[in-house]
Amino acid sequence: MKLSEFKEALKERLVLLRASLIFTAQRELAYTGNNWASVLSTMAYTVSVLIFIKVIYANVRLVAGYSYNDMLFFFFISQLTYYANYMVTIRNLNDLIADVNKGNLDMVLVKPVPSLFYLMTRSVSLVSIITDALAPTLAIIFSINWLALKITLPAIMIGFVVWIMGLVAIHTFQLLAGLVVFWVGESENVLDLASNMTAASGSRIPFEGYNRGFQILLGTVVPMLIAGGFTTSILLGKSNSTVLLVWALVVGIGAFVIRGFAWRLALKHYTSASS
Amino acid sequence: MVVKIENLTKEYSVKIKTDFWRDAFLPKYRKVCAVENVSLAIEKGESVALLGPNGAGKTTIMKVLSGLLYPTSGTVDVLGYFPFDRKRDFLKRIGLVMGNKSGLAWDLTPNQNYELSQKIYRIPEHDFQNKVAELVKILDVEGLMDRQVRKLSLGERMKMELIGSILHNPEILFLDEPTIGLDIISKQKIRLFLREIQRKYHVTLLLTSHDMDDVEKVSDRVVVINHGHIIFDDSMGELLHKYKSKKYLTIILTEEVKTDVIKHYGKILERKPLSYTIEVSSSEQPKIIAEITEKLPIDDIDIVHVPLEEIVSDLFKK
Repeated sequence: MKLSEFKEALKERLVLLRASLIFTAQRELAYTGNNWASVLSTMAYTVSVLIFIKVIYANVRLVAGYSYNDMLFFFFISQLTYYANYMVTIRNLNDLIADVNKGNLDMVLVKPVPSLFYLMTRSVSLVSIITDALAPTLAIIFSINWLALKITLPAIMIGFVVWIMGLVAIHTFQLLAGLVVFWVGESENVLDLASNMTAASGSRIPFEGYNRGFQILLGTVVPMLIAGGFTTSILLGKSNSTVLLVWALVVGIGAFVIRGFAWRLALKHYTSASS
Repeated sequence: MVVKIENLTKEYSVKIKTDFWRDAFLPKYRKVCAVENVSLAIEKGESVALLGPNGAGKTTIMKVLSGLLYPTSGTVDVLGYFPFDRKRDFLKRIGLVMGNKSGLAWDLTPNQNYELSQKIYRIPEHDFQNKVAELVKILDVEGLMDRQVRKLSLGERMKMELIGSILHNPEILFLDEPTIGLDIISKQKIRLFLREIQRKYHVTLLLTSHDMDDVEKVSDRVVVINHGHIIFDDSMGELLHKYKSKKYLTIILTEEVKTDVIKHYGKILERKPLSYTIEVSSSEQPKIIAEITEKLPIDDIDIVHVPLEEIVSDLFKK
């Protein structure tokens, strides 16, 4: 691809993303009353986990080498991962599955846009991110003793790249699960399974809590450790950041390539619902 | 030539129902041929109707042409593109309306939906405003532009779908049952609208419909498909001409007449109290009318061509 073509493709995606963000915000604001339930839901979950961590550390000093404060920080990164994954991937994948199931994908595929990019960004809910995530995230932020954490600038930069790669890997894993709909007509439960295996489960135990075999498995094939576990480990300086960076880059880039290939294959199997 | 299909075949896998456990864990599939070796060419500006019974393959052809389905075999060329590649330049030049699917977001107003389309199709602001104003006026939906799509009636929504599908000036418009479920007034509006845009913007129309009035009012050419094969492809005039030799007479009587007497004049198609509809040959029609008027207690006689519905139904049986 020439540089000019790349710039054009990037510009097209940014214009599309901006339009989709506005469009989604308009849709969300059409039913503002409904949004309060999810605010309460995320808040209740956050408070229960904060209490759970407190109870655990009332009896032990370290878990997998993580102090109480480290574990709160791991929970913070995991929640950011969860919100990013849910707001972008899960919501859009659920819409995609419903559209394929009902044949409404027809009306999306005839739009002159990069189809997968459009489908994965058309419901990025900025309003929900603010309303649902803000209060619970602040609760975690205020629970952490930030001065006790020694996070360096290079660690933040590497951690950010690893986090993005981790999100790409989770996104691809969940996308592959969701794409089953193109073959069997429904994949809501398959997506639920994939979702529980990645973003949700990745927030339970830090990277160092697994043995080597599980670290490899859960850092590659079922990539639940990269976004939450790797990132926290790098930021807290608990593992070799270079190794984790290279690992995350290989998995993330590989996932991105697989994503495009799987999408093209799925479209070839699209049968559209009968009219 | 804007559309050229050669030997198009499209197969689907359909699950075979066996027993519960096999269905759940080892389902079996068989191939079903929706379209088989179909060849078709459409010129720019033509208005073509694809007709056929349910499951004939007409919607499958339309979906292959609009790039939604990947053909099993054969060559497909639309505006110089292989539709399934879904190149941006190709998609900008086509439009699709499906009567039973919505391209508009239900929670938003038509105006908000069109604004997203404006961004997607990169329509300059001035052109966009002019086009929306023009189409809104033709379809008479001025007061509905800021109402949520979900709160529109089916007819109103369909009009909005049509506007949305041609905002970007497509060269080909694919219409799958665009008037399904609509009242007669909405149907008429939409038919006139389609003719208008075909005349004004030289849009090529490809229509599927089970409503023969749609076909008669909107299309110049008819392609009849059955069991995945084309069984008729010619102008509407030619199709009607084939059945020109027959006429239907509806005879309204002032008093009861025995069926045997009516039978003498032609094949009875319909019988109601004091009314018969009979089939006669066009050449004998004047003689029969003269005879009936002289011998029977006639109140009125109505002469009609064989309806298109029956012509098409007759073709399906062949």
